[in-house]
Amino acid sequence: MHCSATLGSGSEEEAKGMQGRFIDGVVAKPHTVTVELVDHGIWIVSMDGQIRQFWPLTDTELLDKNVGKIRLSCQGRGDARLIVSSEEFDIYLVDGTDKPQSASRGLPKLVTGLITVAVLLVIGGFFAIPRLADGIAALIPYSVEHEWGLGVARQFDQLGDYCVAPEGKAALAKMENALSAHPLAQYYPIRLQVLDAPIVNAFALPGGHIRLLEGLIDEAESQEEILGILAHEVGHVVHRHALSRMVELAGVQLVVQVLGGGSAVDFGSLLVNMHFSREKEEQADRFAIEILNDLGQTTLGMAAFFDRLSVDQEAVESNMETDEEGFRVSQILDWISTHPPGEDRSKILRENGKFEKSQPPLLSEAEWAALKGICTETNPLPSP
Amino acid sequence: MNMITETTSLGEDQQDNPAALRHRSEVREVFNLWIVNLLLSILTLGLYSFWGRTKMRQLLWSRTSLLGDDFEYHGRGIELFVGFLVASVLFFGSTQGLNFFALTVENAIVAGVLQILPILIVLILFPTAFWTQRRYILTRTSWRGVRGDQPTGWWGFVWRAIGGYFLTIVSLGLAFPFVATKAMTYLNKNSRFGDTYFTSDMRAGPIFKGYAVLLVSYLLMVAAFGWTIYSTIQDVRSGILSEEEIQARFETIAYVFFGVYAALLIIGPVIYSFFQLQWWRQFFGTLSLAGATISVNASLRSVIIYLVKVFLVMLITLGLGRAFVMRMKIQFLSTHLQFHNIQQVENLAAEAVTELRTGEGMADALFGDFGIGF
Repeated sequence: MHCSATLGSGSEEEAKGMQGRFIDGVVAKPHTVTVELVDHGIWIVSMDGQIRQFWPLTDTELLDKNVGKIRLSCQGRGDARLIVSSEEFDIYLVDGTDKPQSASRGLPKLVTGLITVAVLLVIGGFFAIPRLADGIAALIPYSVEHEWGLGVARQFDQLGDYCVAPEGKAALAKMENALSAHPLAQYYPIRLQVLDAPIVNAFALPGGHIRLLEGLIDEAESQEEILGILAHEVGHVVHRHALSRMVELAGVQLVVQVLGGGSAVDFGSLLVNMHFSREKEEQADRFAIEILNDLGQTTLGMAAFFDRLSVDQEAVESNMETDEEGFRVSQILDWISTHPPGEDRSKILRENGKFEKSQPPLLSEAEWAALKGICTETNPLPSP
Repeated sequence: MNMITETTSLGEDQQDNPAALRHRSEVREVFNLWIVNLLLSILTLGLYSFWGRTKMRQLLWSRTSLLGDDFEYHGRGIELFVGFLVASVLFFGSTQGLNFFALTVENAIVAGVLQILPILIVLILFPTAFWTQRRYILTRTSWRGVRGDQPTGWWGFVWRAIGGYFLTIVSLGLAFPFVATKAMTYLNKNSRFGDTYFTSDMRAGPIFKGYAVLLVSYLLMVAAFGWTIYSTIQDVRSGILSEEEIQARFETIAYVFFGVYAALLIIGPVIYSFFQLQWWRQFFGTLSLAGATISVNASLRSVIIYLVKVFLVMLITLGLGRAFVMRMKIQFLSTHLQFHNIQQVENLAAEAVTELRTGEGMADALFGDFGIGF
């Protein structure tokens, strides 16, 4: 039985019981009614006989109980309300078989459900998506990655002008060609540029874009150090680590948005601060070892570079000034923040490299000197 | 005579006298609900807050009555939650999608336009979020079985708001009272209760006085401070000042800054209270529904006390006590609003309202809770 209404057919004689106030949900004028409770429901009859409704208790909901009043609604009756004295209503209910349902039921269920959703979101956002990111990235066509990479590189290249000294560019092209010629790198063309920025770092961006910063070239003590670092960055490129990181960030950002609210963070700024996990760094290292071995080049240069950074890091951690240039310490930290050092990384490089010395070195002494001076000429536009 | 017939006769007796809202929630019951909401929100990493807010509104609405009949809040937590999710995904998707798309475009002009688009989207979404939240709260509020609504006026409000941003910026803020009163009048005229639309005719003039004093004070302070620093820097660069003179200059700047700042800390709230009082007088004083009107009998002193209390509550609760602020606001308005010819509203007929199953998600996703829409 549902809440029913019979308009205009009631009479005062039929309705016995307590008084109530009835809001019919049609007009704002309230009605004074007589309320009669029978076994399974409530009869509501207006004094003038204009209203006569039956509300089954199973369909009746207790909305509110306050200052001696009870407010009831009935399924299917919209905003119609019956307001009665709670004291009188409770007496009627003592022997009743059915009772109105409370509107505030189900809180434990709701909270349990929400905790589950929150836990799932955290697991999904911070654990599952980063672990699935490689798989998701693999589904994205390389042409799309290439397009994104161009845009990311355009933003990234605001760090400094392009270094374009011709001899230096020629030396760099020799390294780039050697690394690109390797079978592992043939599917992912490398686009290498040196930027005139005094930061000790190198970045692999989506779409094969690699950016070497002048600070790193200044810091390098041998061509093998630069070649090793470039090989490492090519490792990030062929494993599409930058794209995978973008997917990771998107997932985490979405969860942060859902849980925390507020506007989403600009992706460009996230990408500039992008760093890879230790596993991905080691994967890039293994690629670098393989490609350097195949090219007959030593891995010891790269290992030496890591060792020097490691010493610098220890010095920074013990608050020791290691360099009169002062600011160099923070630049080293910049490298560390984007390339987490592993204790075993230089050890692995030493143990797995085939050559103590390059056979022969890729660049001549003159070419290496030219590379060191690549930023003596700069241009705001990239050279081909 | 029992309670039920008392309320009926109260309504009948009010026919020729002004009526007032009556708010009777107790601090203790609000605190109990607030603390439970807070704990459950922490436990669910914020997700419960949608249900918590709904319960708080239900409580506050149900403790507020006019002519003996309580208001009722019909909103549901799930509506707020779903709305928030939908708005988050749409906003996140559209802005980040545009960002990605901008990355793929080589033409600098097109890329620039694509990067500006998210800003334009936000410019449109801000008034949309405000409009949607107000509409949602109106459709979820009923009194005597009749609900409010704001079925029209979205686009009109959006372009008024966007135009208002620019006018306000161009006029260094002076146009704000005109912009705000125009936009709010427009919203009021597009709102109805039951089958009857509100009428409203807010005027900027009375609001402008207090606002202009406040704004000009701040602008003068900023200009004077900026000029002092600029001239000092110029003097330092030209080398005409000794070390001691430079230090003395900066000490003077610091004293002047803190002096002006302290003065504004005292004068500012008074002027702001004046502005708020004038705003309410315009908002409520020009609002009419089916011949029923409202007058505001608050004094400047009462508004100052109210705003200081609001400030202290937000300070003590570290910004988490919005529920208490909402209660204070309803209580303040209950004390200081008088309804005239209110018996006219008995003729209001219920009208079907727009179902907004996504609640006020846009506001939640972008900017948080705006409050109760005035």
